Amino acid sequence: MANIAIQNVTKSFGSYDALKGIGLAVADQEFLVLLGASGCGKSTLLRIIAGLETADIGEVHVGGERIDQLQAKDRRLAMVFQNYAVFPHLTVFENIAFGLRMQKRPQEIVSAKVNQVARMVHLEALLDRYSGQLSGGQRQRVALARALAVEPRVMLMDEPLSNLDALLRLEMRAELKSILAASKTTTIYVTHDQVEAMSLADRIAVMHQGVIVQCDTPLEIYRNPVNTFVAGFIGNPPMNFIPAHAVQDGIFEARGLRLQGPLGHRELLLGIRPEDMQVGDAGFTCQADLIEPLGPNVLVTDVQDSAVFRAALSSTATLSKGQSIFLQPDLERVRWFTPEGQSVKSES
Amino acid sequence: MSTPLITIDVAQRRLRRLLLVGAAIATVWVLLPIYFLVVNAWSSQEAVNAFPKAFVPEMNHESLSFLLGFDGVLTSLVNSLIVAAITMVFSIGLGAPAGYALARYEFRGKGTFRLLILLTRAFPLPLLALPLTVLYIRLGVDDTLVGLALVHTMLALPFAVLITFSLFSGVPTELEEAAWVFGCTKVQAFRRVVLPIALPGLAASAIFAFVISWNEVFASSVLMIQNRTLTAFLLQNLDVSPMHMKFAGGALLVLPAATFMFLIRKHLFAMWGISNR
Amino acid sequence: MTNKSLPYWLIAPAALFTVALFLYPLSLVTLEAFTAKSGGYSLENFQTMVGHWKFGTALKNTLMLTALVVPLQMVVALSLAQLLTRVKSGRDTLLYVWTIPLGISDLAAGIIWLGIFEQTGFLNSALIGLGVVDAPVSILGFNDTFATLVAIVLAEIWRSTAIVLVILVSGIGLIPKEYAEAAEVFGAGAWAKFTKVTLPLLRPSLQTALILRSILALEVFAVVAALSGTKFPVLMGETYNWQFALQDGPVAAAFALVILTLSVGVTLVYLRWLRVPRGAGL
Repeated sequence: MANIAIQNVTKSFGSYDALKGIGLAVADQEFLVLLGASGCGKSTLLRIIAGLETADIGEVHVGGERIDQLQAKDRRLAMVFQNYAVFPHLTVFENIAFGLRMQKRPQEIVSAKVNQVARMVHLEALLDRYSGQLSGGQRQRVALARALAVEPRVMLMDEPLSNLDALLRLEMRAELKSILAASKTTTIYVTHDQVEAMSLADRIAVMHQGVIVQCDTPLEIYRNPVNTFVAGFIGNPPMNFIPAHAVQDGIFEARGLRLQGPLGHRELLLGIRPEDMQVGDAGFTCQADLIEPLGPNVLVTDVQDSAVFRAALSSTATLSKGQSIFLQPDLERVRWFTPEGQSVKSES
Repeated sequence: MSTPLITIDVAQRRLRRLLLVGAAIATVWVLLPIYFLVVNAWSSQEAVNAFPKAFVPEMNHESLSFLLGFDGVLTSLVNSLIVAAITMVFSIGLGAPAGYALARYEFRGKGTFRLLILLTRAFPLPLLALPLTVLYIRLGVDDTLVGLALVHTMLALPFAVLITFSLFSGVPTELEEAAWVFGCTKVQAFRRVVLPIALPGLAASAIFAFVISWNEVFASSVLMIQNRTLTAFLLQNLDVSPMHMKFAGGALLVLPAATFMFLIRKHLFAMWGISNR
Repeated sequence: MTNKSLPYWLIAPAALFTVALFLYPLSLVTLEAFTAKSGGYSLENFQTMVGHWKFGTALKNTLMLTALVVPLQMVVALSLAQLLTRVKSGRDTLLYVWTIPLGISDLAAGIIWLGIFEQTGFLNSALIGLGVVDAPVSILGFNDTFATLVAIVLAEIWRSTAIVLVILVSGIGLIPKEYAEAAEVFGAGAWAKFTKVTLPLLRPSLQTALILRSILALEVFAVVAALSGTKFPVLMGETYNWQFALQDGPVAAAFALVILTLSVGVTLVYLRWLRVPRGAGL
C-alpha cells in the first residue's frame, strides 16, 4: 500500500515562506498532479517528499511509514527530474540500471529488468549509447525508465515534459499516461501546464503561494473552482469575471443581462467561461473589438471599460469588427464568486 | 528491516563534525608551517639555533636586517622585482591579445595555436633555460635581467593566454557590437567597453605572472651569475648560509608573493572558474 | 589590416614567442644531448650520464617521489574539494586560506619545512616538549634516506595541494548538482555518490591535475635542495649540478631529455587512461 500522507508541511528559505502548513492525502496508485505557477511551492513540496529538502515543520508518511526523517537514499522512491539528470558518463543501460545497482541486485535480475523497462519506453535499440548521443526526448525516456526500473512505491515527477517541444510533449504525455497506468504506481506529478494536469491527473492539487487552494478531480476543478484564482488558472482562455449587482435579492444584473443568483449578496462576481456562451438574441452585451479566428473557434474580445471579456464562439459565426452582439450563457455553467474571490453556491 | 536506518538529523550531525574536524586540521596544516617561518624569521640568531625552539616569535628584526644588509641580497631583491615586472608586462602584452583572438574569432589555425599552448603544459619548462644559456651568450644577453624575463614570460604565457581567453569570453560580444553600432572603431570599443570590464581580471593575471616569475628558482639559478635574483641567490647560498639567514630569506620570498596572491584571490577564483556556488 | 587577418595579428606575437622560446630551445636541447663533445652525433652524453654513480639513485628517487606524492596529493586535494562542497558558511574563507601556498615558491616551501624537520627544528622541539623522545631525532641527516624521503613528500604535498585543489574545485563546480540528487534518490550514499557520480564526471579535471602534478613532481628541485642539499639526489638537481657546478652542458642536456621524455610519457598515459568517450562528456 503506497498511499501518501502529508501533514502540516511548512518550509521557509530565510524570510521567504515557500510552503505553509501543507496537508495532502494521496491514495494508493493515485496519479496526483501538483499544479501551479512558478514560485508556488510545488517543486519544493516534491523535493521534500523525495528527501532533497527537509521541511521545517510537518510529517510525510508513505504506506503508513514515516519517511521525512529518513535520508533520501533510504526512502525507496523514484524521481524524474525536469532536466532528466541522466548520467552523462554512463550508457543508457547503466543509467537505467543505476537504482538496481545501488540495491546491489544480482546481474541477471538487473539485466532482465533493464531490458524489460527499456522495451516499455522503446529504448531497446539505444542501450549502449551515451546521453550525449541522445535527443532530449530519448533522454527523458531514459530518466523515466530509470525510475520505473526500481519499481518504487511512489513515483515523483518534476515537470518532466516542460523541456520538450510542443509536438513531442503531446506524444510523451499520451505515452506517460499509458505506461504509468500499466505500472500501477502512486505518482505525484508537478507541472505548471494545466492541460497536462487535466489530461493526466486523477486529482489535481492547485497550489498558490505555498498553499493548496483546491484539491479535486480535474472535472470538478474545471466545473466548480473554489475561488477566482483556480477558476482563472484552469481553462484557456481564462474564465470571465463579470461584476454583478443585485437588483433584487437573488436577481442580479451583469453586462445587461438579468439572471438568478445566490440569495443574500449585494455585489458578486459572475464567472462564465468563454466557451460556455453563444451568440443569441439576448444575453451579455459584447462589442467585438477583437476577432481572432483560431481555427476550431473564433475568439471575440471586448476591451471596453478596462475589463476584458472574451467569448470563444463557433467558427461559423460571422462577425464584423466593432459589431455589438448578445452572448447567451449556458446557465448551468455560470459560477458565482464574492468580490474577494470566494465561490458562492447558487441555490437555484 | 535488519539494521536501523540513520535519520537525516544524525547523518547531518556526523557530517558537521567531520567537516569541522577536517577543515580545522587542513587549516592548521596550511597555516602552521608559515607561522613557523615567521617565528624563525623574526627571531635572533641565537633563538633560531636554540633548542628546543620557542613557538613564539621574539619579534626581533636581527635576522632580517642582517639578511638585507648582506652583500648582494638587496641587489638580488631589486633584480627579482625588475625581472618579475618585465615578465608581467610581457606576458600580458603577448597573452592578452591572443586570449582576445581566441575568445572572439574563429580562424584557421585556431586549433593548432590552442594545441601549441596546451603542449607547453606537458613539459617542465624551466629545463628550457639550459639550451638558452649558450644561445644567450651568443646573442650577448646572457646574465641579463631581460634574458631571464623572457624565460619567465614563457612560463607565464600559457596561463596568461588561457586566463585572458576565459576573461574575454565572459564579456558578451553584444556589448562591443553595440559600441560599433554607435560609431566606435574596434579599438575605441575595446578600450571603452571591454577593457573596463576585463581590467580587474587582467590586473589579477598580471600579478599572477609577477608571482610566477618572483618564485621561479631553476631557470634563475641556471641563467644568472652576476645579476642574480633573490631565488637564485638563496639557492646558491643554501650550503653556506646560516640557518637564520635561510629563514629570513624564506620570509622575504614568501611574504610579498603570498600577500599579492591573497589580495587578488577573488579575481583568480573567477578566472579559474570557481564560482560562489 | 583586414577583418579577416586581425586574429592572426593578435596571436602572432604569442605564437612567435612560443616558437622562439619553447619549440626552438626544445629542439636545441634535444640536439645538444645527442651531440658529442668532439662534434657529430653520438650517445656519449647519455653514457656519461648513466655511468655516473648518482644517476641511478636520482632516477629512482625522482620516480619514487612521484609515485608517492602524486596519489597522496590527489587524495588530499579531493578530500578537501569534497569537504568544500558540503560547507555551508565560510567556504570562501577556507578556500582563500587553503590556496595561500599558491604564492609560495618551492624554494621557500623547502626552507619552511627545513625549519620544521631540521635537527633543532620545530618537530623535534615539539617531540621533546611532549616527552615523546629524549633526544632530537635525526630526519635530514645523511643516513636518514627514508626519513628524508618522508620529509620531502610532506613538504611537496604541503606546497602544491593548493594548485590541485583549485583545478578540482573548479571542476566540481561544473557538475550540475542534479546528478548527485538523482543518485541520492536512487539509493546512493555519500561514498557511492562520490565514486559513481562525482569522480567519473571529474575526469577532465583529474586529467589536468594529474598531468600538472606529475610534471611538477618529475621536476622537483628546490624543495629537495633546501631540505637535503645534495644528500638526496633527484633528476632536476643533477641537471643543475652538471650544468652549473660541473660545467658540462651536454650531459645536463641529456638529463633534461630524460626528464622531458618522462614528462611527455606520463602525459600521454594520463591522456589515454582518463579520456572521456564520445558523447559521455558533461
